[in-house]
Amino acid sequence: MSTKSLISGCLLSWAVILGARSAWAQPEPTPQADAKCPGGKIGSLTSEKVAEGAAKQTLETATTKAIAQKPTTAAAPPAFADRVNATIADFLPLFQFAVNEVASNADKTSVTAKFNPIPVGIYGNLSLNATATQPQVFKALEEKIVEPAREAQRKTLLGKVDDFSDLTLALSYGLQRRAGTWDNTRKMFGRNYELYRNLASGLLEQALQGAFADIDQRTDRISRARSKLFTEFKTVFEEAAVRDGLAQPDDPEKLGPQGARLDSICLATVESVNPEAYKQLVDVLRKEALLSADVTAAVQKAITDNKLDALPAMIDNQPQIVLQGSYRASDDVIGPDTAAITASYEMGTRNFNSMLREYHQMKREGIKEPSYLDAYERGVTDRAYQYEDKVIFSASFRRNQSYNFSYNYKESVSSPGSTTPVEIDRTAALNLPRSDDWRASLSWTRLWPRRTEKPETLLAAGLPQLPAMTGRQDPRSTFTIEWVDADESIKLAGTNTPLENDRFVARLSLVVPVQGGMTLPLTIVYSDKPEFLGDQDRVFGAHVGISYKIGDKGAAAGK
Amino acid sequence: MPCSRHLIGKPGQTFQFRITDAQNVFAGVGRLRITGPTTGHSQDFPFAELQAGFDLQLEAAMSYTLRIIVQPQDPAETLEITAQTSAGVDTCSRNDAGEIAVWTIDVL
Repeated sequence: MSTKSLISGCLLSWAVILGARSAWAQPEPTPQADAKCPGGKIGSLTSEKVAEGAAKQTLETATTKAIAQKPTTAAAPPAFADRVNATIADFLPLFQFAVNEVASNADKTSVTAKFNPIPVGIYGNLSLNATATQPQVFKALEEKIVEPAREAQRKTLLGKVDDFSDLTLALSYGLQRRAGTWDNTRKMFGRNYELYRNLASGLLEQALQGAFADIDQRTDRISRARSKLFTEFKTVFEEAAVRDGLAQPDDPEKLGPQGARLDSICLATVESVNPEAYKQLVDVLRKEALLSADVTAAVQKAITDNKLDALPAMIDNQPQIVLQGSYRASDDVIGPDTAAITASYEMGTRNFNSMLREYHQMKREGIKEPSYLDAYERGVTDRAYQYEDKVIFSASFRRNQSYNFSYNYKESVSSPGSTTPVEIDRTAALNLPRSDDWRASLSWTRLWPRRTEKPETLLAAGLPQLPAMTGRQDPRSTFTIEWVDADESIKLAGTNTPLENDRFVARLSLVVPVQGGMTLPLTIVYSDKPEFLGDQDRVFGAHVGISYKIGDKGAAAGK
Repeated sequence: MPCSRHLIGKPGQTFQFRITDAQNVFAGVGRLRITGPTTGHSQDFPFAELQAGFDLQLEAAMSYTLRIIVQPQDPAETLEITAQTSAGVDTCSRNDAGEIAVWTIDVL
């Protein structure tokens, strides 16, 4: 369809416009040459090195466990998303400057390219997405094909289209504004952490105030020891820098400008120049490395004690207003082109705004400088955030363009008088005028968190984190009511029955994830017009099933 | 990997810190700790201020420890920051709460 080339042209222009905005150079990290120093360098003795032995063991155990849990399956055929990704991979580098992300949906039936957002002043961004969906034959057209030939013709029709025959371009805007300070911010919209950075930093800063009492004293002691060491043995380190080839003997600054070469000196060289300096240096470095691990443990404890680990959920529950306009350009085999406008509002019951409300309430109560942490504590006390309750309202208008398509095919039938099948010429024709429909839906979801494991010990907290291997996920319930005001002027051929009708549908579902990517869904559906529910065939029905997804990355990561 | 670096400066010298590219950070606070035999105090800067950059003028007979402490937004994602000091560029990363970088500066 010509609209497809129009969309491709638009995407190209958008990409070129955005390219200029996002190009910026990344400084290259300083390369490290460890091969020359088998015993390590001054700069290489970090908390990770101290914890390396234990970490290695943990990693080995976790890896063994993961391999044992991995199901052995035959290789799956390449999914639609993989195929599309492979196709666009060659071209992607050309548009890397404009394309922010290319992602597939969970069942790999669509691929979405997200373009770099365009800022709209202080009130958020305009974002453009292009989605290629796996082609499916238009159901109304399929029904025009006689039943015995339907399956074969469906395959033939799908053979006529390519992976980019069902494209949707969506332009969306979400209202948001960057937070100021706790005192001048009252209500926020949007879920981008950047908006809340100032407020969250204030919270963390207060949380860490008390966490460093002991750390500060130890830092003092180590700093003094280090200063003494470098003053006393400066010539030793300079001699070591020369022996390691980092400086010339006549170099006035043998340790480099601002001592930048110091970390590159091999520990073994220091030992060979002056064993006593080496002994004291290793002692200081070990103490620093251990202190570093303890700082990490203290930070994690402060975060847990102040329940700051709930902050992501609080921001995720923030209200969000989104307006979206989309256009779906598809091949005739797939269906009519469609334009839609959707407005949605969603929010969680406990969110960052509830903390801001508490903060301002405390000021009204006469507290002169309320603590952010106290306001936060009040906001999360009822633990309702744990359920991640979310209410989503959306209203949309959709216009389906007129559709006229005719398709000639042959049906093979067996004849009693012949041993070979007889082929009969047939035509599937479908003509639909332009139609409009309105939809509104209200849904409520709740996550039912399972009891979490005991918090990690401080020793384990200091080690590098490993991905969770069990893939634990929480059950989620969803209640949705949907109302559709369909265009009833379009009748099924030869009848007075409308193709679509106004309807009301209510669904209550509970999805219980089971170990290893399996889910147990339970759904109850009610509709006032069951004949338009598609697969449902009763006014009131229930559905229980087990679904198993192979290669569920999300489950493996334990998110 | 987290950064850990020792530097040496002279009294009166200024060290410049520029911290960029804090992607996926959930919440962060930078902590500039100034220690020494004459004074012993510490000061905290919000992460946003650290990103704007700051200068540290060295005083005699002091040791400086600069710690950058963060909590990434998503533990599955690695937080990466690049800190450019007048002594060079360091890229540091972490995927759990804690120190992302430590710079120690001795005034000799």
